[in-house]
Amino acid sequence: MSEAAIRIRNLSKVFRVWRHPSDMLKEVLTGRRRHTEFQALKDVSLEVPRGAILGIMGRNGAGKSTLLRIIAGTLDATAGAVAVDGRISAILELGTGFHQQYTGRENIIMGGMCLGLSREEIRAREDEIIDFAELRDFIDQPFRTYSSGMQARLTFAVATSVDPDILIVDEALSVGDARFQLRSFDRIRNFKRRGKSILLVSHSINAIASICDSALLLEKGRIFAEGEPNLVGNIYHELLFGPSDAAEQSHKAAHHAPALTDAEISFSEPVTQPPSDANGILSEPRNVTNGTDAPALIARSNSDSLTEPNGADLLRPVEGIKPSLNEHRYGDHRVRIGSISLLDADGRVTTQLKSLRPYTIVCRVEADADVNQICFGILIRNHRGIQVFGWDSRCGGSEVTRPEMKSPAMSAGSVGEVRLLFFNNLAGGVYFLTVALAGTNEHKYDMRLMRCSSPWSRRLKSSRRP
Amino acid sequence: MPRLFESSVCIVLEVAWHARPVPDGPPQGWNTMILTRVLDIQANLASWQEATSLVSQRRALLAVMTWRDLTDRYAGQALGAAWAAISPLLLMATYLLAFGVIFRGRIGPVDNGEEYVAYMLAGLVPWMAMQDCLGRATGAITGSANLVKQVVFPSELLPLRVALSSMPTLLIGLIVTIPIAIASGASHAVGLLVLLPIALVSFLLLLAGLAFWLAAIGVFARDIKDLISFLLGIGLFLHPVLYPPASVPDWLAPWFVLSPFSHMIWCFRDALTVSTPEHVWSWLVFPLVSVAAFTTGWRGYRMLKPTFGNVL
Repeated sequence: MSEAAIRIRNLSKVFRVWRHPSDMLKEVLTGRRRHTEFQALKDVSLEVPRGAILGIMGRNGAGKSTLLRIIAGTLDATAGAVAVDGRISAILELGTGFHQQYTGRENIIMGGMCLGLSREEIRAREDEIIDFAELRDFIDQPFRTYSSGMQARLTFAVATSVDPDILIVDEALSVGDARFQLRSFDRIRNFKRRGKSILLVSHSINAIASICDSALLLEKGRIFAEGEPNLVGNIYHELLFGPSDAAEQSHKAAHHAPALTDAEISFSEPVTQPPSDANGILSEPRNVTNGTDAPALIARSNSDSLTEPNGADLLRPVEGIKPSLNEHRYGDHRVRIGSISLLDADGRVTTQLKSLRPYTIVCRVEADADVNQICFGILIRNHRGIQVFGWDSRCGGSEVTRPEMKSPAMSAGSVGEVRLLFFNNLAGGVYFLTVALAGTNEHKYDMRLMRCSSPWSRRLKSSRRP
Repeated sequence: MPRLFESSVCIVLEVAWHARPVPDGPPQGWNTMILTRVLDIQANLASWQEATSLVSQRRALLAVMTWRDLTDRYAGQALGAAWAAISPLLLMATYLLAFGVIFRGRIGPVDNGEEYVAYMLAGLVPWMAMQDCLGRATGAITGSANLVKQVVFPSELLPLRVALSSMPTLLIGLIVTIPIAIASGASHAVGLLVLLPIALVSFLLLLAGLAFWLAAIGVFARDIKDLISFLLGIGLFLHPVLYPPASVPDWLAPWFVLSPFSHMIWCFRDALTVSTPEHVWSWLVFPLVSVAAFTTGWRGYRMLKPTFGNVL
């Protein structure tokens, strides 16, 4: 028995596409190439060890489903080798292989038999399947009468009941409600505990981050990134919302010189005025003229002063952090987040948060170009990458911001400050903070995602009040 | 028709692509390449081994699918699966009326009609079963596209299921034919007990083999469905099924030998309606053709199976 359940080497898949059937005929007769080739997968190599959950992310058309279908064996590869060791059960689409006219119970029997169970085995598991799918009341109704969520539940219940060595799930879980998703994730973790391998395609970075051991990002048929789900999720996020090409460049940069990309990070001089408004955004960005009288950015010091900040810190620069490896940053940087700091109720810089107390996030915003729309947002994620809390000035709600504050414009060279009060309701643990500046949803000015285990997030601790 | 031509080119392309010479093998022409592959004894034996082990492992699924195939065809109809019996019976009655009563065919001068009826049914019954099977075989994969595309399961069962689910038509026909044959005094115990089982096994193999081919081709060229139903329709009249041998002109008779389906019909006729086999050669040709059809069908299907996903 080898270590890897799935081993793929240099896998490529080319679809030959003829625009019209007669083109194929002409190609045969004249010998001239008339088809276009669509490269769905290019030189993909990966290995899935036993007992591992691999998450696969990627935009629509990136090749995710093609990859899964080749692994499952329902599609042939153009080049490369796929070695699969063990019985595969795949949920490649909703209602996989189920007959619309049959009742749920008949589909359980047919589906189970298609997947290789005997009649007796299915009968023994039938109740468990029905209970897991929570379809006891509908099991004798035709499958076509089920809602998509119910269909997904039954599909998943049957596909996982056959006890495969390798389970492939292609976005099938997303239609289920939260309760079902939770239960299916439990079941997937259970599989993992028994040494099974799972391949999971999802568009939900959260889902991937919460259960996968590693993740893979496909883009245009190639492996764009692979590794820790959080990190890959960040790159995927950038791919989705970042400016085009920038993702590719930063991807290259990250591969070649990962340590030098974020040298500009520093903490601003904390603003001493106490928070005045307990509802949310505190001050609108002030336009500051670009000159010597602008609040100078404090040069970062390289002293590793990781001591807890005290009152004296207010008057001197907060220590510089070395976030290069731990921060993921992207955007077109027409407006930049110059600095981020966190103040407690007394206006002191801190990273150790106490429960049930107000804190203020202060961000310095610097515009390099004229922009007519700015939206500011924060996101707090826990150590697994699960979103815990998020807020942005557009969805903030009327009681938090005045309408004219929603999208303030900034001119080139101006510097502003955003102060955001939030009440710490977080449970004890390590969290990490993302701060974003955007124009529209598609256009990100600056995103700074700070990974946990970084000095920054280590300092963003929430501890229970003694 | 141009579309049909395109489709056939499509198939040839696809087959040629998969039969292309292995890069490290000795250079060979297409013809020898295909021939050596077809005659590869080891691969042929292996295919039988694969087929038997698959069927024995998945016989429960095959049985359920076959049963489903039968009941689904008549689902939602008042008479239900009874149509599986009614439609061949009505068809046989119609042919009897046309050729037994109106045209008044006779086998020989002493034939009072019964012998001709038995003669005709012995050819008509397997033909009807074959028509039923091959007509559906072209859609065996395309009709279950979601199963083939998404479920990791042996799709070889789908053509097999089609071949098996046409067996009731054959059995119902035989249930009618055998008493008539016995009553006409033309049948023989050896024919019924020894030759008929051989013919039935060969028949099933032939249908399964053809179903494999048609199912696989049907994926790439959907028009094959119409072509096959057309060929089966005219084939009934181009084979010695309905008319007595006496009415066939001498110059035409030798041409029948060229079609394997003539041998199939002669074998059934030898088994059912005569005391001593008249077509000894057919008993060699028919089983051999059947085995060859099954072997190549299985292997061809397995060869094309991974490419189905590109088209479905």
